[in-house]
Amino acid sequence: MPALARDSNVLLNIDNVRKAFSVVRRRGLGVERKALRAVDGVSLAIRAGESFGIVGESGSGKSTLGRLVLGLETPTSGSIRYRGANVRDLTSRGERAYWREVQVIFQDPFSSLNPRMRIGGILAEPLCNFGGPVPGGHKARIEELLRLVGLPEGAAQRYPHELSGGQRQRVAIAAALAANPKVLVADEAVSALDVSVQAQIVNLLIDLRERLGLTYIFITHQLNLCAYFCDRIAVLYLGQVMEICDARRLLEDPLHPYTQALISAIPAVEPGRRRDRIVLSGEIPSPIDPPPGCPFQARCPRAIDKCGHVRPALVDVGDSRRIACHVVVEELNVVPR
Amino acid sequence: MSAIVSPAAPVPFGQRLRRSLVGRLLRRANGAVGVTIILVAITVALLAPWLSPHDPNAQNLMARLKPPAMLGGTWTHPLGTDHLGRDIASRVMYGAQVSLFVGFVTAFAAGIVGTTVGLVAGFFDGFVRTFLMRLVDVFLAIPYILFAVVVVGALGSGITNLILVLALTRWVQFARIVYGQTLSVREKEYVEAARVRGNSRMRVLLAHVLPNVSTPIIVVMTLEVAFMIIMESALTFLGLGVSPDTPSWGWMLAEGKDYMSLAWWLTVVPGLTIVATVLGINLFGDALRDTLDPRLKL
Amino acid sequence: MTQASDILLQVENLTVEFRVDDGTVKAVDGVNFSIRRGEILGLVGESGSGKSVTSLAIMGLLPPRVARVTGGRILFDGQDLLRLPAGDLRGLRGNRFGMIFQEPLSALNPVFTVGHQIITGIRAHERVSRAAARSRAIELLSIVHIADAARSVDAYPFQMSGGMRQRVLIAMALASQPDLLIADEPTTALDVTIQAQILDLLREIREKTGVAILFITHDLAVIAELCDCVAVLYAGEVQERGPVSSVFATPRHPYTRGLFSCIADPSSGKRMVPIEGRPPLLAEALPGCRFAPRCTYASPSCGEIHPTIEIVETDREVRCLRWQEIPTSF
Repeated sequence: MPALARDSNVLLNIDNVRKAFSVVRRRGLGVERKALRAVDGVSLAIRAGESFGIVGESGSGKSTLGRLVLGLETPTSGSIRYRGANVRDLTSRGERAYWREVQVIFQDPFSSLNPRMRIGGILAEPLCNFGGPVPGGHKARIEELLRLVGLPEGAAQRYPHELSGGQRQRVAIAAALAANPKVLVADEAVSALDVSVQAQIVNLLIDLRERLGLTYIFITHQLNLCAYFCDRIAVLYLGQVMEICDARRLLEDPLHPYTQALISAIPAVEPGRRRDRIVLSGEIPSPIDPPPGCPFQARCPRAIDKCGHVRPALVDVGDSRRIACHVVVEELNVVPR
Repeated sequence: MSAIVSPAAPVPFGQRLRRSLVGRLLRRANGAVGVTIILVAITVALLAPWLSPHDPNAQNLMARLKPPAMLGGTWTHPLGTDHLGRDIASRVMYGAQVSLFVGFVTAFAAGIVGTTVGLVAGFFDGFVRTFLMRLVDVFLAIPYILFAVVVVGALGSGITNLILVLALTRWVQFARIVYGQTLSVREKEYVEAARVRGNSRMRVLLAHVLPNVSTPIIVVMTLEVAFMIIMESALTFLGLGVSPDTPSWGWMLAEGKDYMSLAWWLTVVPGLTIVATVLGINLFGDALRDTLDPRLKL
Repeated sequence: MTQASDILLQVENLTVEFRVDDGTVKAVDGVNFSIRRGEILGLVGESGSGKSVTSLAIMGLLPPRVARVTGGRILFDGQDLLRLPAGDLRGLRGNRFGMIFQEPLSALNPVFTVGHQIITGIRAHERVSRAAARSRAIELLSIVHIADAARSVDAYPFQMSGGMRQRVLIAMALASQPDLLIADEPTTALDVTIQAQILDLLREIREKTGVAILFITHDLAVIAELCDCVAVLYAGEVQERGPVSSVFATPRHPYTRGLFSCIADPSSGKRMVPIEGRPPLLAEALPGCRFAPRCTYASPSCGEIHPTIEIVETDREVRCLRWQEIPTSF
């Protein structure tokens, strides 16, 4: 059992979680049921107070993983434990205590707020649900939350369509904070915003982190942003973890071939600095009925025969870094524990 | 800190009125005409006891089959009389009460039942959904006249059973529309967020899903009123609706059909009234849909 | 010296108005830029900047009852596109200039094969036999590096991934060997690794065929990777324009500088400095400089006097009253 999981500081333990959806396809006169393996054996341990980034492209399963952590989906196999208790038990049959501790900020500021409710109402809901009714309403706390996210008091009377995208996202953050959570899952929380507004929101999240001691799970496809915001990053490909590493170190010295290709694909803002681009051939394969072995081997420039048959395990290669790759692990001469 | 999007300055009342739903509705030709017709119909129906020149059931065999005032008759009976000497204008006015009452009540009842079924079927997966949507399929297959015959045969005629038949026939229209809307609203992030923010499933359904599927319901309900009026007339015409003692447009059509060659106004007058009322409601429904649609930031 | 014949597309003082509830608003207000043959110009801006509207105006695809060009000229190889009769414009569109959109899935008709759509495009502008068009379609698919072009030509869009669909769109746009490609956020919806492939492809096509590209995006890094020149749009106006190397090294406009400081640079350890406030709504017609409310260098006169375009050096322009006083280093 890897050392990290025994750490008492671990808030969230994701243990070999798999989530498969059944996909029905027409085949002749009948149907054919296939499994879409959105998350295919992910193990992570997230410590209290850290900002943990989950990075991947389409089909990586990062959003599904986020929903599993939030309890909006249940794993097909494996478990997710929060402070030792199984999230599945914490969210079943009307139990809502889990969400007192773990909250979410979704991606789309235009559809994450009920267009029929005023901002004040949206914020009052979690306050009532988790804190119980208060005589005179929650007016004071609502104002406090609005201040916390940088919105003027008058915002409580508005409807979502009267606010801009950035302002709506602030409301979403305020609604998440209303429950006084310990963990915030940000699922592409800034991807749909203008660049100038993205920076505002990210800075807000950083301020809140310092003020409230929050733990973040930051899901995104923007690796640069993730490395800026997070302490550690897990890189996902086709539902599996490829590499987990300290954020800055990952960017400076990626070891997994996929991470290397990913980083080299990111366009650089300095014109003329054409990186030695590792161009990946082919397309991102579909998570339906994936082939055995390493999910990346079809496009990997360093794949060997073994990669097509044996799935690489996530191996601790020292320096708090773990990699799932036969070639690299062998190169580093590490004995898997 | 950045200012909120909407202007801080108070908007003048005239502009608020113009921009409001009512204002936008009335600016459209179909909206204005539709609203006018509906208001006229409702007024006439409500004030029939005071507006009608005669007792709709008063027979006067001396003054049978008198033509309308414009076509050779007298102004005592502005729209003529029927085969029993009863004043047609008065019967039309009182008939409005029946038609509008039946129309609104059945549309409302069908709406409640259909919306509930559609909402539940759309929101919950599995057996509930399959069962309810198969139920919808079954009801869709029943021709309403046949259904009316069966119900009237079993339970007798009269206004209550008429309402029952009509509501049980048309609820499926609402169910299908609400079902589709619910399926799409269910996927929205704010619905998932509502769960994470501690709301129970029931509250999510009622406070978050329902308000956001209600816009098409309003439009459909309006149009269903029109349809119900026509159906009521048809059923009454066939003897499956309200009793013959009640003046109703359907009965006027039924009784007048035998006199088409002698006194065509017996059928044409109530017929035109039905057309006008239904047209007005449909125009209003269209205008409502157009007004609400692009504004669907709501 | 730029020869006049070098310039392929010249947008002069373009103004586009949109009809709203209470009147009209200007989505694009006096925009000027030009593209030479074989050049790649990047049009960068956020929401409300008018970049998409500009491209729609060039292509003649503005929604007819809602939007109108109320001023300016769009000269394509000398001809003013705005004064052309509709038939002539159709002849140019898809022929001399091609278009690539953001969402390849919605730009392709799902009920026809990819080959059919390319062939239809070819035969709309040239009189060729179906067989000739089909072999040209296969050739185009291999130019854009679609594997197994001979079989892919009979594939349906839903059978392809996002990256492949975008390649198909590029192939369709290239069918008639156009002089200009207008690409409206073609890589925004794509994954990073696929985006890199598409950018490489566009570069390769420019090298091989000399086609000019108008590339619209919100991503400065993509501009740095691909474009020769850049025009920065804000609130319907060009705020800064010039060669990418020069503008990116020494941005003169506070908005451009702001955009750069917004970018996360984890290795440098520098904090992201956002631009306060939000991009303006079309309806807010402000006196003075449109960026002034958010500008850290704004002076009182910035809020009153509307700045005009000033020349910084050859081929470089900026719209700012105070550009000379603003430091150029970060």
